[in-house]
This record gives sequence, structure tokens and C-alpha cells, in this order.
Amino acid sequence: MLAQTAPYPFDSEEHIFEIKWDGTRCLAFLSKKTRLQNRRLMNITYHYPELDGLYKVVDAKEAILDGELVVFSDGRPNFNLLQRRDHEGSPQKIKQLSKIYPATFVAFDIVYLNGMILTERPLLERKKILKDIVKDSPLILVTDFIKKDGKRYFSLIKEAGLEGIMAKEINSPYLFGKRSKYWLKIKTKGTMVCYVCGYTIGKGERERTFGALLLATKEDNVYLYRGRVGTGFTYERQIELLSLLKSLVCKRPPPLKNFEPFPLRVVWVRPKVRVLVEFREITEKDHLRAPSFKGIVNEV
Amino acid sequence: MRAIWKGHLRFSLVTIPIHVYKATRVKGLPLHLLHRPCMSRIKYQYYCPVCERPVSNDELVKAYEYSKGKYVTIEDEELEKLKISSNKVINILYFTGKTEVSPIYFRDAYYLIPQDEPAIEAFSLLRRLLEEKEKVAIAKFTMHQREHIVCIEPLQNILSMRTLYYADEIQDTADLPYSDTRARLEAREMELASILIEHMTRPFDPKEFENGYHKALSELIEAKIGGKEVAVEREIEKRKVLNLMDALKRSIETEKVLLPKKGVVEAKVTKEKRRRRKA
Repeated sequence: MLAQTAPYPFDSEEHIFEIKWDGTRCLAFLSKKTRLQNRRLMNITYHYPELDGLYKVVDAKEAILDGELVVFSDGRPNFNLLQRRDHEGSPQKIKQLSKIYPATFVAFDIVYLNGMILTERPLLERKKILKDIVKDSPLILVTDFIKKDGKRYFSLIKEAGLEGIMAKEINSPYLFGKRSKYWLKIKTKGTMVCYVCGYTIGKGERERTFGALLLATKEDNVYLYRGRVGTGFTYERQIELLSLLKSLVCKRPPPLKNFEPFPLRVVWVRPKVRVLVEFREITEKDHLRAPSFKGIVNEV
Repeated sequence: MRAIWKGHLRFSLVTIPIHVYKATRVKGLPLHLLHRPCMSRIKYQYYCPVCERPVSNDELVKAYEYSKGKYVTIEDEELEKLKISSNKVINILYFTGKTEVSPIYFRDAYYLIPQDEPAIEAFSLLRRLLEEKEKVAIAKFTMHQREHIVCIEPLQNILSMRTLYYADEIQDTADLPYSDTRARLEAREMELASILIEHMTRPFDPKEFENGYHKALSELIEAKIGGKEVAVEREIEKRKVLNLMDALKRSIETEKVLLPKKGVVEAKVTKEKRRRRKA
């Protein structure tokens, strides 16, 4: 079951509100062993050996829990660390990473328990069943929820630096494989697809790649400059971007509106590569505040 | 496992959509070089001994040494032209007996499985017939811009595929410094050796062997990384998250903001708790 997007937070007696956890969506099939399955129905159990004992910390013969795999650092979900866990294929590295950046299963729903299919039960009842069978263990935590005060909860979540909130209808059933309006996600940050029109030369450990990407969006005949993004990439991603950009290098920037030169060397590229960036807000000059790289768009 | 190639297996007029997976994984533990005093990764630098200066990538050109000190240069564009674009087809050329292809020709091993539900039937049919007729398929396919000859055979409920060496890549045994001197074999010795072989015969179990060096190195690394304290770390992280969730809830109720700041450890796992967990 997937959520639809809502643009703004709201208050409602019909909904509960909970943290939107920034991780990998995951169904946990628990019996005499643990099997983890991602959104694309792939078995990802072997990526998370530290969660093998998940079945032991849930008081059930058989259960299917819905939740999110999260790697915490500093008391917050760290999506970059989680992605490193997700992408690692070598068994030794998986084992090592599982010790350095262990994942936690954050449970928010239950769909099956000891022969009973629970999908038709109202959400709050499922939540109660879930809470009752999960034992206290570092492997798992059950997400909290609050009633009614969606707006205020959202502003607190934003302040806490979390990804967003989920609003879920109190009496709604669980719908397998559906994207339903019973569940709504409201993100604290905006996203935008931008063209890369240049990059700055990197320093220190970024010497071999780049410092930041210069972003712009297209407006009729000109490009509107959106600022620079210098975080959110892994080293591999940077290498990949650089190889794409190297073939597009040119002498002059495209016609750029709102661009103010800064004292760093810029390599201009033809605006072909599109990237998805996340940002806190749009400034008065139409620049993105605190942008962070999320992915290359052309490949999706 | 992730598919490394997606395309069709073609056999005359039949095409079967398939996925290719790597059958093997190299269990390497790559070690890097650090500069001991500052522990940073060292960087490789190209250096020209004639000009006596470091050179950048832009100043380099590829070349083949055809005779000592004599080179022909080859530009990247020229190499690009030699590459073959893939037509996404593994084309079966012919079938042959399953013992025809000597293992000497085998290179890398892959698994083939059907891409989707509708492909299962044709795939199973081919697999089954190869098994019954004890045949393998010889096919051509292009991966990573190079053409490969492959040998496809049934393996359990799927197909396995080996890339093959080209004939001119195999060294001729006639070039070995050995000639059969027609050693006279005594009947008694033959009989004795035969008994010995019978005695030493049993099913092959690859699981009984392990790479001792790899295991030892792996254990050494594991010990250095540690990990015994990780359970405690995770417990601390979990407490922080629980505190955050709790603070959010209380903030809603009291209308006051009570959020813990990032990085503040509010609840430490006490020694007592650690002891309890060990017990």
C-alpha cells in the first residue's frame, strides 16, 4: 500500500499523523525466520544480516509487518547511509556495514498475524495489535502517532529536520499494492528538477570530481539560475555525473537569468543533464535554499 | 542478485525474453595504500621521465608497442569505431553434444532465467529438450561492446551460460616440453592403482573446501573493525529516536516546543543495562 502526496498539512479528526521515515519501504515476513521484501517485491534479507533475529522480537508464530528500514545517526534517519547499505552487493562489505551502520525496522502496520488476515481491520485496531506483539529490542521500533493536530505536528517535524509526515485515515483498510488516498504524505522539503549548467572545481577530497553543480531551470528562451548544490552525492554518483558532464563542456554559459558571478572557477556545460534536488525553500531571488542532490533524472 | 543483462535468447524463429545474472562472485578483500604519517589514501600520478614532470590525462595518448621502443598510437575515436553495438540477442548458432566442449574453453559463468511469466513456457521447453537430448547450445552474443561465443546448458531448473575462449587463445599442448615416451605400464601396477582410485572415489562436495587465506584476512579485518559495541550504539540511537518521538508527542499536548537537539544523547544506556543484555 502506497501513499498519495498532499501539498499542505491539515488538521483532521478522521486522521492520525505519524513521522514519514526516510529509509527503504519494507515488508517483514516473520515466521521461524525473517524475510525482508522491498517495494519492488525483491528479497533484500541478505542486505541486512543484523535484522535476521527480527522474528524473535515479535511475539507471533507468523506475522507480516509493514515498515521502513532506517539507519539512524544522531537520532535521525540518515538516508545516505541507508542507500549505501542498500547498494552494497559484496557479502563481506554487507557484513562489515551491518556492524558500522546497523539498520532498524521501523514498524507502522501489520497485515497478517497467526493465520488471520488483518487488512480489513480498521487502521487503529491494526496499530494496537502491532504495538502489543512487538517486544522491546534495538532491532525494531513501532512508530508513534498523534491524533487531530496535523498542522502543528508538521511544523514540529520540520523543526526536527525530518522528511515529513504521513496522514492516515483512522478507519481505513490496508490495500495491497495500491496507491491510496487513505494514506497521504506531506513532505517538509520541496523537490525540483534542474538542468546542470556548470560545475565548480573541487578541493580536498573532491579534487578528482567537482565541488558543486550549478543549477538552472528553463524559462522560454533563457535559463533561470537556481544556485549551487554541493551535498547529497556519494563518490560513485559524483564520478558518474562527471563523466556525463565532461562530454558537454563548453566555453560560455547558456543565457542565464539571475546569475551573479562568484570567485570560484566554473566549468560550463551545455544544459542537458537533469538532476532532482531537494530544498528547504525558494529564496526571493528564485534560488533554492539548502539544496541537496537526490538523483539523475534522465536515467529514471 | 541483480540482472546484469536483459535481452532475448533466439533459437531459429523462437525468441525468449531472458535475464542474465552472474553465476560467480569473486571474494576479494581489496587493500588500499595509505601514507602512514597522515593515514590518507595515496594518489597515483603519471610522470614523464623524459620531460621530468608530472603529466595530466589530457596529454596522454594510447599506443601499442609493436617492437621494443617502437609504438603506433591509437586514438580513442578509433577504438570507439571498433566497438560493436549490442542487438540484445543471444543468438543460438547450433547444438552439440554436452561433452563436446572441453572445460578448457570455459571462461565466466552466468545464469539465464526467463524475464516474465509468458516466457516461462518456451524457456522450460528449451531447457527440457537440452536435458533430454544431452545437448548444449553454442551461441553468439554482445555484451559490453564485445562479441562473445557462449555455451548454454541446462542447470537444475534454469540455464547456465559460459563464455568461451576463442581457439587462438588456447595454448597448443604440442608446445609443452613433454613427449609421450610410451612408458611401459605393468599390469600389476595398473591393477593396484585402479583399486586405489576406486577406494578414493566419492561425490564431489565444493562446500568442504574454503579459502583459508581469505577467511583469515576477513577475520583479521572484522576484529579490527570491532562491532561488539555496535549493539550498544544502536540501543543509544534507538533511545534518541524514541525520545524524539516522545518529545514530539508532548510538544503537541503542551503546546510548548520540547524537541531535543540533534546530537544530544539524552538517555545513555547504563552499565547495568549492558550487563543485562549480555546475560
